[in-house]
Amino acid sequence: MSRRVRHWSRSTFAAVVVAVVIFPFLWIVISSFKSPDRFLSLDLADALPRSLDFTSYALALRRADLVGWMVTSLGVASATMLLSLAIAAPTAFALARLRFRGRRTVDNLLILHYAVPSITIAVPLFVLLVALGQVNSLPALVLVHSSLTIPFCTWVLRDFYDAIPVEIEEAGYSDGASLVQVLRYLILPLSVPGLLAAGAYAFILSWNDFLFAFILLNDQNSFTAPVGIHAFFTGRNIEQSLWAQLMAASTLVSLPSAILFALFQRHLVGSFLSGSVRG
Amino acid sequence: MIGRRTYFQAAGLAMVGPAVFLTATVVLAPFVWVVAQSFIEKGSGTLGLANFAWLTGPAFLPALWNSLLISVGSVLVEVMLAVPLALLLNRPLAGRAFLRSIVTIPWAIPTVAVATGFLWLGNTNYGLFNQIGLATGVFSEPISFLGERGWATAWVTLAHAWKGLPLVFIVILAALQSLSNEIVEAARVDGAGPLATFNNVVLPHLMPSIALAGVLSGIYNFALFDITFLLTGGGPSGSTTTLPLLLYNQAFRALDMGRASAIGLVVFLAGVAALAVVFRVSARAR
Repeated sequence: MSRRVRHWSRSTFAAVVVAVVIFPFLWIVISSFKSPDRFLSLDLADALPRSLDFTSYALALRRADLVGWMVTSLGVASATMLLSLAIAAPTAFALARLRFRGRRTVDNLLILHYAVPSITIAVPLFVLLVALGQVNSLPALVLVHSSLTIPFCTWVLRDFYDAIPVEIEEAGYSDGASLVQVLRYLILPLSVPGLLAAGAYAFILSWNDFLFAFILLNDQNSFTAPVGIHAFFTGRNIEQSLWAQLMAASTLVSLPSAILFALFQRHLVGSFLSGSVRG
Repeated sequence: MIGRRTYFQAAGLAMVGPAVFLTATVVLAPFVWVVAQSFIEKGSGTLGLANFAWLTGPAFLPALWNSLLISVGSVLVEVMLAVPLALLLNRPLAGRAFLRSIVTIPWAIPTVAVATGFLWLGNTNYGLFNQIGLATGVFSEPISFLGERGWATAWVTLAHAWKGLPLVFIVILAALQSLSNEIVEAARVDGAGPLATFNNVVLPHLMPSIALAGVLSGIYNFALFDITFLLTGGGPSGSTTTLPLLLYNQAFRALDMGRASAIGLVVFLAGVAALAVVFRVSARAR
């Protein structure tokens, strides 16, 4: 066998293997294009869609609730992204560059934070929000999501600041710039790629979150997309049109995270690696 | 004029302030509450170890076993898939970068969609697995993947493994890339076949990464609520009730914050213990 043939047969094999790995998600997407009228069929020949049928999407989106939940999710995830960056970026810079007392404590605090599982603090957070009368409050959910992203976002950005040469700042200081000016005019423009990667992470974490949104929101008018989809489409004996809409809704809810992740994967993967070494 | 040192001290504290404040209110304060509640008995409100004594009983132990089964099982599946997958995607291939990024996509898929996928694939009458199984004669009757003991555990384990595969894959692929070609070549020149090269050269090099990624993924899956809750809700007859689900049931159904807190503490301590072991072992290996 020639080298070329071997290369292409191996590549084809790899593509098939990867398709099998991603299949549980691929199958949702494929099924979402089936006709909702014949979604459930005992005939294997009906497993694949006959043609690209967008009826399931039309039906799912016509439920005003799904659009509303997605808008809520978009708001919560965007706010979480901005707040996370506003909190993590200064923390990361201070830990990377400023020699101040208490630095070591903050380092350890982040590791402790990272080690506390979400399920352990979900109940007390619910109790706390009940006491404060903040159940169903989306700003409260944003605060919770933002706190969850702190360790990882700080570590991503810290790696980033560590890679910026100190000479750049020193040149700024010796030109008489203040810390604020150095941050504003030298560090901020250089940290855009790091901010994008950390921001993408925060957005995905918030957009995908089920546990906290499920526990802290119980009014369907304030549901995020994952909680709404769970509440309205999944159940014991749902009819076939709902199954079809569940496929469309699940595809739609996955797209923003999958696209953002694909765009910033290069940066995020590097951070997973240094994160897993640290964590 | 204040000195530069004082200025940086104040600036440093100001810059970490918001992160410290949020961590303290959203993570540490609830954690302290959990520790305190775990010593308070429901009803009487007396201080004591009753909630921890309850952990030795017939509600907790099966849930602990289910959690261990699902988290250890899913890590085994992840490693057994990730190692060959990383070996395959480390070779020169057409569209290699694209294939690698597809493999990591499950990390970004919301758990509610992960659950949809596995509910649909495993559906008793209409799911693809049953349809193919029945059509090919592998199954004589439809299998209720989510409604039968054993099958439900296997199915939930598989869903956890699918979601957790990307992180393990990324870590193993990175370790593979750090293995120098000369060493592999040298083994080949010395007459080692592909299997001997893998067993004696590649696998030992990967082992620390496999251990670290496996333990981190196991800790994550051990504490994960969403996937099991969305797929089975803990059933059938409690066979997939893991510690996070038991915690949820104790808190929101039985309204027993003491027992829920004791479970939450166990989940936390188990993770810390697993991490301590892996760090002790990897420090000794180095």
